[in-house]
Amino acid sequence: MPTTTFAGPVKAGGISTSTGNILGENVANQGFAKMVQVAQVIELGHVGTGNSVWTDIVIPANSQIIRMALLTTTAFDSTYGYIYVDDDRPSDPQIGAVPGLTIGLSESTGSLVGDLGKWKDVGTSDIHLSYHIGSTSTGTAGVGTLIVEYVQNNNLTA
Amino acid sequence: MANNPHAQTYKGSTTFSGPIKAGSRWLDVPNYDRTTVPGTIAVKDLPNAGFVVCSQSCAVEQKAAAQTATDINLPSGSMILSIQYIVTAAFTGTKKDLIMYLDPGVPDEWRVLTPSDGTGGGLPVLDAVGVYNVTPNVGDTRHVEAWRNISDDREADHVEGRSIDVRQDSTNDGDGRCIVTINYVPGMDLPNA
Repeated sequence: MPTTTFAGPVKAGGISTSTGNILGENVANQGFAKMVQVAQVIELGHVGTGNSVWTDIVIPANSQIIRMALLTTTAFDSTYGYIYVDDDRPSDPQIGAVPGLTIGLSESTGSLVGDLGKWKDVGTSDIHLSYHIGSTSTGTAGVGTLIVEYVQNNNLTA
Repeated sequence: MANNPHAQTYKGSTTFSGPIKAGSRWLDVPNYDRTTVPGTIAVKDLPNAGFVVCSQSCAVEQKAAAQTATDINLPSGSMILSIQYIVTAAFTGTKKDLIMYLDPGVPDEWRVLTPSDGTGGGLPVLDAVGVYNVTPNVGDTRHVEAWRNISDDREADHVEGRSIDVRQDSTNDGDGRCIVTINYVPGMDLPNA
């Protein structure tokens, strides 16, 4: 299938700049295209933060992370099957966690969300995502697809 | 199939065959050691292009005949990221739910995109207007894997490059109406896990 690639961010809307206050005529209405990268996650027993496993996901600088989820196709260890997503600086707080305990789709929400600052803005450099698995896990069968949705170069400052 | 009242209002004007990708680096890089931390290649040298998320929506009526086709037709190799129902008229009757299927053209080979418990369970009971997020059907792994790649080449009906219809089944003649939205990435074509 053909692929069209842009440097991004990709935006769409009929009015790019506000020049007045009449909706639909001169008030900017462009939005960002939502982006996604996915990576396969495999259970490897206990994987500590010191030897996190790299994914193929690299989030561009200044992006806003808006969703992290796991589509589990083979369940992870029923006791410790939480996948913790880190960036390329393992000493930093984890970005989020997703449970892979059962087959299906699970989201990183509520207390599973880690470093909120990274969700708001990943920072001035790209971040390379890795993952580790809950302590003392011994399972090796789990398979899932990590889904990370983001807005490229939103550069939020709040 | 109900008419989409917004079909003309939101008629697209810029169209690509897709998938659309964006990022400052998208070329392949040499292999790197995925199990070594920190990585053996600096992050600034890794590709960072992601896929643009696409969506298709359709209007459905609860009273439509079982297995009615919808306006949604997903490109080959798509990965489904999420499914949402916007219920504009509450569903009525014994079963107030809505099941969505992938129909590759062979009825016995349909894959179910939503839970299939007609009395509720993991399938939202649509007895009130509102927004409902729908999860995969965990009753069979092949249904979950259909979210990962709608064109799973392990399926008996698989045809390389063929788009796949989405059908609806509400199993009731009630008065419910809703908009179904499927968010997906076309052409990702993930390999088997």
